[in-house]
Amino acid sequence: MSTKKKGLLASVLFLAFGVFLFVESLGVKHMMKNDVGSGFFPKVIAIAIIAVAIIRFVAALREKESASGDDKDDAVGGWLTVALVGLYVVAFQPVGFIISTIVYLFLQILVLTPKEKRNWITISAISIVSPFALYTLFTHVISSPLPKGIFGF
Amino acid sequence: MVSQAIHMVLLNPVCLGLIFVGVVIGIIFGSIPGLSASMALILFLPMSFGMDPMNGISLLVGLYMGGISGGLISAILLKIPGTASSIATVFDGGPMADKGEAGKALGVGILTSFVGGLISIFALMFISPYLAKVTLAFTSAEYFSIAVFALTIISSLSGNSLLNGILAGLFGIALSLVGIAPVDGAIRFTFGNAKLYGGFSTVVILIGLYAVTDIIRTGFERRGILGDGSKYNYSLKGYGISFKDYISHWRLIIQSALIGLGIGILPGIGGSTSSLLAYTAGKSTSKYPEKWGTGIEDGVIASETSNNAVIGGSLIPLITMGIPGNVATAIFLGGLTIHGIAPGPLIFQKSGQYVYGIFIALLVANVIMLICERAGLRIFVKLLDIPKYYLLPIVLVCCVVGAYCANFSIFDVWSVAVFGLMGLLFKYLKIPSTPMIIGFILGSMTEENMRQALMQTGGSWSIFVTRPISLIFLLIAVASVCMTIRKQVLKAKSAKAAGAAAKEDEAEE
Repeated sequence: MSTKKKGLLASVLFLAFGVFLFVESLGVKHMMKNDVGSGFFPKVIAIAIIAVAIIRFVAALREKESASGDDKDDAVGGWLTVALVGLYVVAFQPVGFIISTIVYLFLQILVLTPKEKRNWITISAISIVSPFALYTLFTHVISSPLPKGIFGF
Repeated sequence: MVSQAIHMVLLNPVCLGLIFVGVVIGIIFGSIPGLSASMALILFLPMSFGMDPMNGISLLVGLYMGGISGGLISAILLKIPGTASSIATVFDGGPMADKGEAGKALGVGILTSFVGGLISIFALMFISPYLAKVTLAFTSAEYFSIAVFALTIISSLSGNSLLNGILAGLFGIALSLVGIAPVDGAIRFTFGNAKLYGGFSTVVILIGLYAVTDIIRTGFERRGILGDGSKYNYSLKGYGISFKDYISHWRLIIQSALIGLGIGILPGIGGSTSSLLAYTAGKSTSKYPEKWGTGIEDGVIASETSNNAVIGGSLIPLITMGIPGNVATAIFLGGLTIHGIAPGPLIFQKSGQYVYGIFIALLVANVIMLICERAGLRIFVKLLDIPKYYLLPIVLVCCVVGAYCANFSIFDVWSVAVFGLMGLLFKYLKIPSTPMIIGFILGSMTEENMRQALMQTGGSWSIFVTRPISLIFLLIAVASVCMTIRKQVLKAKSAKAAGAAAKEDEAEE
């Protein structure tokens, strides 16, 4: 996407957010007599966001198309990472810390490591040792329990 | 109070140990490109919650000090700044390494980081008690204006686009509105979710925006993960410079330290600007500006003195007014408030022992940094070889664990991922995230003080312009916005002119 299109997209997103915030602020109850109320400041911020977003939109319209440099992005690596992080936080509690972390670490390191550098033994060792080390550190040294999950550990 | 502080820090082996651990981990995070000082602070913030207040804060002090000081190692040996604060160190540190003087550059860098840090800590110790006395007279009107001032400075100075910075700042304020409102306690923007009554926690937003986002970005840039792999060798005796030679740069040292200090006190500018500014100022006041950039120690001294001087400077507005000027101090604020230490004019009366404790911890951390970074240099340099594709996933796991342990809430873990994705979108759209986090922190301060001031006057807004200090801050805020707009317009004009000139050239050809 060019920087111009990014500017347009950003301003439209913020504009929508500003309108949403304003509409939501209308529903905030006024509770104290000599106070401006808890809906006042949000309205001010909403109007400010809408105003700046409109200015940003106009400014973006006048910009020239120019490459923003993200065509170099590795989409596969990026979206796989997003998916892995997403699955990890979802599985964190139900599956438990140790198992979800072993699986996450193994797959994430695999995604990030260039093919010629993949060393299965190192990757497996890191993915298995670090969750146990962290688990011991948190439950026994810092004494904050981590989710045990379905398997009881 | 001072003796209490000495007991809690200097005579407490646990506390000293934590400062040591903090400095060492900070140096590691600071030196490895891709990990940052903020990341180290964010990771350990939830852990500090469970500690005794002084121990927890001392750990953060060590991390901050080490994180800023570690960046010079990779700036010199890899020619990649380990943290943004060390950008200008590359300018002369890199060429020094080319000439085979990498060891000297490292030694001088470490030594001068210590001196810069020391000057700023003394400034903090002498300025903040007086500033706290001045701010004692501040009412809600002044606090409102200072918050507005801080927000405008931050928005206008971060990133290339003023408008994007302002939008990010406003968005941060909007996030701070979620939950129970100040003054009347109205519940707003929770969408029926009881987990949102207390609002978003700063830790969650920080972990999401500064750690998760960075790690996901690495996925998009995984082809560059190996770097070019060339690392300079170095040999170093002592600090590579004689005391006499070092002191002969006294003018440059003091000038750079003052620049760092000033930049630290002003909100939102941060270490990277201070090192660039000190470098430029050093070059223009030098007797031999033509040698700068060819590999002279002066460049390293300017950059590394000033970025460490930011540390003490940035703590001045934080301690006396509760205003964080950068991400590191925003994290610090989280660490202080969780232990019931409220920054502000009364902090010296209410939590004086902790403030003096922070001063002592800073001094100790600075000395530990000077010794450890030099003594452990060989190990830190070795650690640069740890592949990022092993490190970053482990850091992410630590982030998730940190988010979970802050409140033992799985909702926080999900929020971290959501904020991480939001940070990703922001990065993609070139919207800076620092104004957002500062906006989030200053948002509630702005609203609360505005409403309190208006309640006192019965709704009259004139209070903000009739009280002189309030008026001054508002005027500076307006002036700073005007100046930034002017700068941007000029930049756009010159870009246009350059574009037109280029077209003419093409036509002539």
